[in-house]
Amino acid sequence: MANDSVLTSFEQPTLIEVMAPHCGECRAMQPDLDAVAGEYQDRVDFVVLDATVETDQVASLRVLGTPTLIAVSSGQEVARFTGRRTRPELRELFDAVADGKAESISKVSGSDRFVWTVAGVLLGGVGLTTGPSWFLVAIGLGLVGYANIARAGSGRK
Amino acid sequence: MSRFTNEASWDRIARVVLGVVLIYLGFSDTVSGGLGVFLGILGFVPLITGLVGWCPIYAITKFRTKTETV
Repeated sequence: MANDSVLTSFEQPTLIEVMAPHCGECRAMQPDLDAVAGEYQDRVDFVVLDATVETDQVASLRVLGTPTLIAVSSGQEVARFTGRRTRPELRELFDAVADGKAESISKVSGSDRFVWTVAGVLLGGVGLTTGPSWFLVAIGLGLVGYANIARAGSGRK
Repeated sequence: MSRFTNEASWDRIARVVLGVVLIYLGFSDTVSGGLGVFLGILGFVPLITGLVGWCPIYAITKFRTKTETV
């Protein structure tokens, strides 16, 4: 969990983007993010932190990679998302932040969810047809379950 | 510190399918003996690189199948 002293200044529902100029995923997502942030500017504060400039703030947020989106409510981090999100996913995320439900958003991006679900189903199928090999079935179920059930707020204090 | 991904979606799916096929060959005894065990273990390599979307060989050779939109 991030250092609270950095986040307490954000009293309104806020979405913090931690990006870096050299990060291709950040540059690719930025137009969508700016457009959606504009749509929600009355309901959600949007803050951009450049990891190469605001190094102390980013370090205190314990960000491990870019792009990272951190949802803040009442000065507390409620959810964190890593990796590129599509415009519909960003809209869903801003909606949830505005309604104070960011922790209910899926932790896994749409593209990851698709790949992990396909892999899980295939592995589970192979597991059932070979033996059955419960090791493979367990991995398959774990992949499908994590991709589709894990919520951003789960596992946070 | 960026979250590196260097594989396109089609690349990730292809790796997952390849990995599952190799695992199937190993676990189903279609290929028996040491080669079957080897294939079963080898299958986890493309499977994992497909799941995470990042290939270390691509990174070393500066190659990527994923294109940026800007």
